[in-house]
Amino acid sequence: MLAAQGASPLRPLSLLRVGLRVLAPVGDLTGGSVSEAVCRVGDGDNWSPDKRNKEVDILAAASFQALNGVVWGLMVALISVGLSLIFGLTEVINVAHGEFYMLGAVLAWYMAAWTGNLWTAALVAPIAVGGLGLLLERFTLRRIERRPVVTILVTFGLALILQHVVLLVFGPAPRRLVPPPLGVVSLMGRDYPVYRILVAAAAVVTLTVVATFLRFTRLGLWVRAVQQDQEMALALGIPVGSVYMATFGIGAGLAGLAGVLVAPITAIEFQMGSDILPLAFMAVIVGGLRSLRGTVAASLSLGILEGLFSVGMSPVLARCLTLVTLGLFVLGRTGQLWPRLRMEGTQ
Amino acid sequence: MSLRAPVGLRVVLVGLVIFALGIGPTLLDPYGRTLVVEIAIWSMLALSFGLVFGFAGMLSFCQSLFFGAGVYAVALAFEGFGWTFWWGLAAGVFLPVVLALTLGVFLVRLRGHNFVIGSVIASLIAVYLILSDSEFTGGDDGLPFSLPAARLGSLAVPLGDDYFKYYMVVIVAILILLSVWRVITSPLGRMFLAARDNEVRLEFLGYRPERVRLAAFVLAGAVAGLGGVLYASVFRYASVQLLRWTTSGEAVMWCLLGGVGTIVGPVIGTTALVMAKDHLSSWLERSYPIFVGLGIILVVIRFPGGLVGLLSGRRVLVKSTAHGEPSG
Repeated sequence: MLAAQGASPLRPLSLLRVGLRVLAPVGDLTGGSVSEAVCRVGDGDNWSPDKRNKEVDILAAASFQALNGVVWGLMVALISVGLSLIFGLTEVINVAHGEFYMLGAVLAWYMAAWTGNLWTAALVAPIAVGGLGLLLERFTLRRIERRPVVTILVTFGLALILQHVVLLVFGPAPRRLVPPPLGVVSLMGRDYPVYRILVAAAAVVTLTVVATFLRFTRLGLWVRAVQQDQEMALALGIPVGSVYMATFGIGAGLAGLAGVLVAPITAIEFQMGSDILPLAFMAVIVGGLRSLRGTVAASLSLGILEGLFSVGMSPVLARCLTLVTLGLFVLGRTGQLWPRLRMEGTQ
Repeated sequence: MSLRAPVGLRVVLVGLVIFALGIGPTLLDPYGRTLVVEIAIWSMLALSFGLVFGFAGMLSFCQSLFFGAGVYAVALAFEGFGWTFWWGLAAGVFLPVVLALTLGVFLVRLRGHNFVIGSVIASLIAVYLILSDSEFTGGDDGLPFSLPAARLGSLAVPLGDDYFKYYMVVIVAILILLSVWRVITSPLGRMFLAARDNEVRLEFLGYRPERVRLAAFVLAGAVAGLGGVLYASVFRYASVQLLRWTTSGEAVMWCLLGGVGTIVGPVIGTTALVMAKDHLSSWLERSYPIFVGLGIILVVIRFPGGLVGLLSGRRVLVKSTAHGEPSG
């Protein structure tokens, strides 16, 4: 993330310029024409109004992409927070979590097709997906929690089943949903869709609600207690089983909500869950497995990073580079990149 | 501890091999022969996973990455670079091993679920890289290619001949199987088990667990890569779907069903499931992965030892380094 410490408002922009210049060679390798413009923008004697306009264009493009990245990062945050809650509590690596997201999007599509209204979908789908998560926990996963390998394999099996049931019903072709006609706002000289801003706002509100829930309600207290020390919680009479179910339900519901929100701005298809899952896992790991704040921060960084990368290269390559960057960051931080670089205080 | 396959299943395996080599080719119709070739190739992938998980305790979803790397190396060597036959084959063997070494150095340092996620992400990165240059790699549509003429000295190798392909694949697969068996029963193989079961003790004995696991990882990568080369030689089509971590997952299923922790298990599991898939009607064919998923859940919860475990009376799922804790 770009942290501008200086008082000058121009600082973030120059950091961005430097960043784009650094990225430019990579873009050149992949034929990104925007990066060519960056390379040719000089300073000092070679300054000309023509080149200056190009630079401003790139900044605008970058900011636009960064904004998209924030929206996207908030969606990843919703999914990762659910994943993190589930993992922190039950030690279940939920490989099927991405499918909850996919189900949210698919349900949204069907509801929009039946009722012509996206808002009812936004209410119903998360609850439906959350309910499914709850049931899955109760009837399938209850017996195998706390056995990492087994849960990975079982949730993988579940993911396969969910994916292919949807494939049978929904079909293999990606479908699109028309976003509600909310118009555009003018931001930085470009038109930005209001719907995306609404989506971002909804995500922020939801995350705040979740944080409040965890801190100030009894069930939230129970969740945190069971996370900290399950046996003690049991001894204190907390209904651990119900807490497990509730956490799974909430986590799944959050992912489903992300799916509904994102449905009008992306391609809905049966594999979209397995495509986004690794990103969510990255965010959880980078943010720290038991820190929800860290997870949200990591998700946002991921989104913004990908947005910035995609200024100079194709979206696919941008995502690739984002994954590589985050991967190296995780490896470096855990001191496991090179054993000799092990830092004090890290394992 | 490792599962020793019951004598009965070993006999079955040997019987299958004899059948495949001997009377099979004359008894089977072309479709049957293609099925045997498929089974041989996919059991390489399953064996690769069995090696890295059953023996070295790492739950890896990137075996399909090495398989696909073998396929794409051959495909691109011939189609993209126009190399001659033997050089293309060499590329197909070389690339997966190099990839396994490079990735392995980083991945084997990871514990438990971090390793799993790392392997998934590695596959994903490879998929994205391939998709990013669709012109060169064929992108989403895949890359069909043709094999150049091959000569062995003054003899022309009959690559197009049905029987030749059959024998080539079956013989290479058997050789790979024997080599892996040789490694597993050697001291190195014992070290794999040690790294899986009790790392601390292995370290006390003076070995580096990461090196041992890296060796297992590279060996498994080589096996998968060779499987990919075989696939490329027979089917002449490179598809990006081969690299997805969900394809690795199918191999997980074959291996689990047969019995993790043995050599026999992955092969038998693959045989059973590929044949089962083949016999299903067309409707079930499309929903086949649903049964794979159900099967995985069932096997893991009820029959952790797979077929081998069932028949030998043991119901043990092989421990993995997922906990990162020493046992016993």
